[in-house]
Amino acid sequence: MRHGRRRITWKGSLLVVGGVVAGCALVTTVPQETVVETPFVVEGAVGETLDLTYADLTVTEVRVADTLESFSEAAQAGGTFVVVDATWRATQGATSFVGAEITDAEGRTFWPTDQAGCSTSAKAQPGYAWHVTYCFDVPKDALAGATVRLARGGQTEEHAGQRRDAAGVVDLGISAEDAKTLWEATETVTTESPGYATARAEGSEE
Amino acid sequence: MKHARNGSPDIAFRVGRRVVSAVADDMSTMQRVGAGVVAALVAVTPFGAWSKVEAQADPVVAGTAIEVGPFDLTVVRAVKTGDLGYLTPAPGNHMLALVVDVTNTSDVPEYSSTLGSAIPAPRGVDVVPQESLTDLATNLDTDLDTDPGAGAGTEPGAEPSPSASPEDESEAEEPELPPASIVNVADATTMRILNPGVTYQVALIWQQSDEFTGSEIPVEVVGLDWIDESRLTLDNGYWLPGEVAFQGDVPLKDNTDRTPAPEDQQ
Repeated sequence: MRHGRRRITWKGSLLVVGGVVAGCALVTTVPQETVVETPFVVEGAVGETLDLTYADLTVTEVRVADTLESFSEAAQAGGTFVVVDATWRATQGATSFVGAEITDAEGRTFWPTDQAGCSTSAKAQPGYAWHVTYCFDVPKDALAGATVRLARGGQTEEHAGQRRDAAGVVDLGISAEDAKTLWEATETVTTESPGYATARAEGSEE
Repeated sequence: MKHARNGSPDIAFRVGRRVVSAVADDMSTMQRVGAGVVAALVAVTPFGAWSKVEAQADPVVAGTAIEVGPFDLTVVRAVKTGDLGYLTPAPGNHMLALVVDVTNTSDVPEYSSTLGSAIPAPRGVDVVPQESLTDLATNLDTDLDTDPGAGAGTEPGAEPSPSASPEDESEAEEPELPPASIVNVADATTMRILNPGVTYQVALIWQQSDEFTGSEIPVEVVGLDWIDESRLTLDNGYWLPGEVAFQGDVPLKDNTDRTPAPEDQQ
């Protein structure tokens, strides 16, 4: 008499093979890396305050300029400068906000300049709103439908610094008609240094 | 009806086949493969198979656009002058500027240093070399270069520089020329980012000795190769300078006698 020996049955084999196939199917079909690594994008419009968990972000104003002026230098656009005024209110702790880029309707990306007092990043303590001006030199065909993406993580290496983190994407509200008018206008914007936001600059909710 | 044959090629083929049969009959398959490879290598030798491939650089012509990596470039002119914006030459030197129209044709921004790596300082025209660490140590009156144990900053176990090979000794002795300072011609501000689709006129600027009196400078434009992931450093996605892709002599305009107007100096 044999003790403890189990017979291999068709049902048992099918169960094992079925489990393996189901596991493989799950691993293959579910885009696990994308799910884990994609930033949590919070979308909004100019004047709207976005909750990014680590900060409240408000894009307060969007302007276009051929020339930027500060107390120390003037910068001339190769295309045209899109000047984005924003306020950051850190909600958890002292935070550096490194990510800033514009994406156009074609998917091209544009980084901000540090010319003429414009900022490419910001750092704020919690508890108050910090005003920043970002300036992006873009070509004419990038204006219509452009969005600005602001976050504490950097955008280099395919937004590697924003993985598993929140990023705010704000529609600049520029239509094709607006783009034509804005491109033809010759404006000069005098930039403000980063600093405490006034009630006006902090957005409509304040 | 059989056609008449030309006898000599047929005989040569038969003799060749017999020779090959005589040699190969006693060989194993591996030996035959090896012998075949050796025979192929010997056969391609007379045709320059082992000669170093010399890349032929296309000409650089002022006013003609060229494509390098993510950039469309047009060399506009070369100028030597005194002060250029915030850049001031040391006594005995002047500034050498290569003016270039550049458009980033890719979908992503590029650093201006990528453009700088594509256009190195012109060689053989007295561009002031980069101050080396040894020079700095000498100037600061330190003993970095006198203590062999200190190795003048060489890390223990560091790999020797590729340029230190004996065959490159003559090149290694040439002073290293500095990368260009890149300035936007429109407003004399430093260019750091070149966004897609925007055309800038920039000046690549070096210091040049007043001893140079030539009327043209040799301009080399290095090809840029896209590296998805470096096997050496595991860095992702960057442009790597490669071989010289374009070269030519560009006329040099002398503006050193121009002095800035008093209002420009403010």
